[in-house]
Amino acid sequence: MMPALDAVTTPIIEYRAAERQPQVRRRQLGQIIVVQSSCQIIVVQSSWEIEPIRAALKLQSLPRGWDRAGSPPPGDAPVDRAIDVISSVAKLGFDDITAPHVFPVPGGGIQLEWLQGDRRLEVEVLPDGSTQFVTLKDGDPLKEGEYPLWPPTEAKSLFSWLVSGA
Amino acid sequence: MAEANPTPRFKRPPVIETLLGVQFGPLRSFSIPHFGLFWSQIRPDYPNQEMKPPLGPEVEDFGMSVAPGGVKVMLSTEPDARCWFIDASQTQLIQLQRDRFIRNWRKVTGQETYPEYAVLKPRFEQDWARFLRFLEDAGIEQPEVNQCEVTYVNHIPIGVGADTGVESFGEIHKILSVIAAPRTEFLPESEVAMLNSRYLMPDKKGRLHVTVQPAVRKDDRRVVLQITLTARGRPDSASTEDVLRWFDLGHEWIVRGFADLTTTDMHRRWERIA
Repeated sequence: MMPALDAVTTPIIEYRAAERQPQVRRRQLGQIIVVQSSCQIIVVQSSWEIEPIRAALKLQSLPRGWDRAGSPPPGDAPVDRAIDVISSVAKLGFDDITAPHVFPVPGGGIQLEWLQGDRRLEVEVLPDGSTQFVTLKDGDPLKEGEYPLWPPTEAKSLFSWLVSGA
Repeated sequence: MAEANPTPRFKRPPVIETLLGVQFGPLRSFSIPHFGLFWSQIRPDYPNQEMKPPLGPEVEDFGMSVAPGGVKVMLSTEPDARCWFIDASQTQLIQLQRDRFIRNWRKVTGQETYPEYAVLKPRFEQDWARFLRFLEDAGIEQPEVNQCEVTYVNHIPIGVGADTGVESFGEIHKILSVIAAPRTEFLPESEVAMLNSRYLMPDKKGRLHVTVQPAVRKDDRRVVLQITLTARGRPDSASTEDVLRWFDLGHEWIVRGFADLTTTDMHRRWERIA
């Protein structure tokens, strides 16, 4: 039944759900393409992405007061942004990067933590979805600021620093 | 008498969403208030609504070049919008915009049974007829359909303990017959695998697009391989009869294509009955 292929292409766009609303948006940092399907998936490009993405999603199931201080579970905005960060790091093309640890932060945020030898990169996603980073060497803070989701060259320099400590 | 070459059928197909849709030239007289007016007519069946950004135009081109996907910019002087009208079960929805009418069926709890094309097509026909009547009553021009689309989205669970027996994305040759099992002399198991392919339908009636993507499902965090098959093309005319005839062709290409693209082992797991 199937004829010869008309064309074969490699996927050039990421495809992920951006909101809990039943809608899928395909995005490539800065680009949103709307599709007709209503199913919600997050497409992965590397196997290491899977567990941190699942961990970020699972944080939404935390009970209110999980920290015994009344904190809510992370909402849609920090979860979506944390997944954005994970997916964007996978696109940077580092072969030797490991999966980040994913933690809830009191107040409803999420922390992603990459460790490589004596170097550490922490990305904190605040409840409103804004992101901050700090780099540490031997536990001492070196640099901090707003995490650069765009352009990718800025994030790449952070991860180049991280993996050079391996 | 038995059909000579019956369309493949499965008792437990992995389909989680389908859509039947048409695209037409933008209805010049259709404006934002008409969404509400149409909803008032179908609200007993579709009591819920959501507003969405509009879909861009999709037209199968049979020229020489294969245009890569990329950024598409839409310019419009109209306040475009897309509205979803959703039934009480949340499994059936109509998507409407000035140049699109789409009807989706989807799994919501995961326990729903695929209702079969023979059920979905008449439902499209019924809702499409209601929309055409609404346009006529409102004095709005009838749509000139230029593209038909049938899409089936399938999810195949991956991972230790998955009922597919596929433990990693390196084993998708167990799912897809178009991918051979890797030789093990040098390469390790692939980390992930993605595939985009497209097939010409006869007489340039359209194309079948196949996309295979590794993914994490958001609602239950399951790791799945998503296989999306989309048949799209131009009907012989804008008449409902020709639209439905094109749907039959598109559906046949999707189900026969899906059977060709997937392995007999998966067919056994999905309980193929034809």
